[in-house]
Amino acid sequence: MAVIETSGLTKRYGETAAVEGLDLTVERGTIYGFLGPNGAGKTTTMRLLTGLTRPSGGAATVAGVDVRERDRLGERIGYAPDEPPLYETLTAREQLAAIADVRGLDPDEKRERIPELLDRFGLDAADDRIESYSKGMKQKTSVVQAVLHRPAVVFLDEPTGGLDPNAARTMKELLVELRAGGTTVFLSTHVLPVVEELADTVGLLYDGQLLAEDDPGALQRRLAGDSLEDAFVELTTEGAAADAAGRR
Amino acid sequence: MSDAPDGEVAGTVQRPSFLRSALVVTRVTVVQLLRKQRSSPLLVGVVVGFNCFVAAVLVGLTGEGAYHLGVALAETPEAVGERVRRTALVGVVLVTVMQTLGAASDARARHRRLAFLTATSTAAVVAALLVRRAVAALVLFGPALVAAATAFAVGAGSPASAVSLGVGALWLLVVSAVLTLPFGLVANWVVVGYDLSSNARVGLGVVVLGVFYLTLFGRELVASALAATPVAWTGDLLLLTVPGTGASLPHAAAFVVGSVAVVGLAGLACLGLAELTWYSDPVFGGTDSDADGDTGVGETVGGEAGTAASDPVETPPVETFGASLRWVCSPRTAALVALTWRRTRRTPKVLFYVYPSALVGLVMAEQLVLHGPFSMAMYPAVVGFAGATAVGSAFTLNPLGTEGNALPAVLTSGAGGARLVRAKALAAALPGGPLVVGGVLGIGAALGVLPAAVLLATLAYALALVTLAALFSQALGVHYPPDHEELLGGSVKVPNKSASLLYTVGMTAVALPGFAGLGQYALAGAFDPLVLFGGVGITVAVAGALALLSYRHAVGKLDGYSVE
Repeated sequence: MAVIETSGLTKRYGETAAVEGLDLTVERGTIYGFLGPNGAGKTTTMRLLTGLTRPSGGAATVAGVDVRERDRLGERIGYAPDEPPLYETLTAREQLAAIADVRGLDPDEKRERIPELLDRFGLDAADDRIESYSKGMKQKTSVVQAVLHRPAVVFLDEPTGGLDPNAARTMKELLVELRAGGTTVFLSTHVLPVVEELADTVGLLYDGQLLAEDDPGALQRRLAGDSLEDAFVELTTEGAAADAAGRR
Repeated sequence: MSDAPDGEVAGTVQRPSFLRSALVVTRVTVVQLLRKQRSSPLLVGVVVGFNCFVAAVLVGLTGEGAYHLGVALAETPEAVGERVRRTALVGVVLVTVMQTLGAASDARARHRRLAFLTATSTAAVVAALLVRRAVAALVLFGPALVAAATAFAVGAGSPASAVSLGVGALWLLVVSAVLTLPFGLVANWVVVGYDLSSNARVGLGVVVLGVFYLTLFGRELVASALAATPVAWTGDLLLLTVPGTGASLPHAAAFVVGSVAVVGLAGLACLGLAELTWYSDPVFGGTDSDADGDTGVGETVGGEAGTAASDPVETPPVETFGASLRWVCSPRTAALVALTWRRTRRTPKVLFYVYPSALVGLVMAEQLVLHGPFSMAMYPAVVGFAGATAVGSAFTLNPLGTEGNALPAVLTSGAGGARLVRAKALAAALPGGPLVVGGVLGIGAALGVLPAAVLLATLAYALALVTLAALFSQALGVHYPPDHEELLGGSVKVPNKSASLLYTVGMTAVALPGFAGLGQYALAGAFDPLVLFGGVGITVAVAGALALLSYRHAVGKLDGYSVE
């Protein structure tokens, strides 16, 4: 059952198309690895799918909600962008509690989930102000905030960036658990081994268009590469991009 | 590399002289300042509008001014000279106090301009900062002062008069800009060196504002006190080429020499203080974030909140913080209100634009009652207007920008535009409303002679304006800052200057009929029910309608907001 569906989704900034005619289908309870070189339109796509940015054309639904209905959409999704969306002068515990309250999370569940997730990520400084955190600590807080309310779909933009190996492993375990619980994870990252290891499906975006979409193994075989990295490099070089566009 | 002679480090360049470095850094700094002003039509409009307003007042288009003084010069040159001397003294003091506020902001660690310091000396950066301050002062006040000098010369029929008046006034601006920077550095050294929170920074600002207000109200006293000091020689400098005013050339020359010396000393002091303030251990205080290469040094300490990064936080549990609000609104709205209050307490910078309203109130009280024709019965109306305007001058003037980096979290939380607008309005009105009402009632009771009808009308007037303020400011604020990706990456923004200006103008327009109705009683000592209730009624009705429209507009804009 598809939980994310887009049809001709387009975002233009003047003459420039950041995302052009994107057709995407993501199944419920899967991890979708969203790849692409810098400037390919990954962040714009995530903003479109989370309702932060209004599409210029096309349609998209996430968990059955039109992305233009931001309020309803917000109840079903979690989003951890590349820049952690945190109030610098709050502590992590205060931040999480405040957003949980704003979301209307049950107080008992909030009291249970916040310490559990903080403990799991080893956020010992949860009572210090966020402005004193390292990038990795902010990233952990941001991800905890995105999953706290058990959303149907979680959008994670570079969630392992700045994390130490232990935290990165915890993050991967969390993603697998979320999938097992029926949550869909839409994961954008440049760390290809993470996608290779976890993703059920990989989508490769280039110049605002979806160049390829398959499971990681099939993508490698299709492009006769040894790894997802080979496939990525082959597809995103300009000549390969044109070939791939022709093949599709 | 291969061209480097043996024994010489390849790539070594000769360090340029201080003068060369200072010129380069100054040029870049000033060009940045001017480009910033030019790139914003609104900012250009504000600067031009401000200059036009000040010029109109100084020249004499709105009353007696420089032109009229020039005309009077032929008959009473000594009296005119005396008037110019006293005005100059008061002006110098007021501009200097105002400049100290800007200096405290300019001297923050982030103005070290690290990019320059990796290539040149601190002295060059300090020199550039001083020139930048002088240029900013000249851009803001210079044209108006030159216009006033010219008007005086035209009125007097003496073109030479414009020379000393114009050049002298511009020099005084430069001196005050330079002299105040050491104060700004000391203020920042105290805040950073003693690990004080941003509340302390705001506290210092409030003290300086207090001095400004005291100077404003006691200007005659200040002028008298300074008349016997060398500061009074400013008059001799300004009047040097104005005939018949008895200006002393030795005094003028002494003032120029003395001010040049003081400017030099201030520059040296700035250099020492900059080393102390910009490079002290607390500024580079080690935190985990530094170790991980996360935020820049300036961002951690001198950035958004300016608080010590490792401040222990002692606050009541979040779940109880907003609980008391739940009789007023839904739990989710209450959570947003509580969140806004907590953040405001820790980042009082968002209250910055409350001070112009306080200033307006004080100036109104001074001009209308203390030195004006109205009785003290006007005070409650002044408190109602200025207090209400202050209520809407903080975070409601920038409901998007004050969320800072957390904006995506709020927008994707499902809270919705209507809940956000209501929460911001309540966060402003719940503490602000009782304060304004208390002020109106308290002063009304203290005066003791206000008829109940007048007091009730004032109360209705104040309440209507408070309601309007909390919503009208958001209707304007949602347009600032404009949609821009930078919004997501930036820190918490204070309300936009243009939004603040438009908001103040709008509030004044709505408040005017009611103010006139209440003013009629304060002027005549007896009230005409038609004028009183008619005026207040118009304000209450317009405020109510505009508040409703503002609410709808703000909600619509927030719901339709797109991160571009």
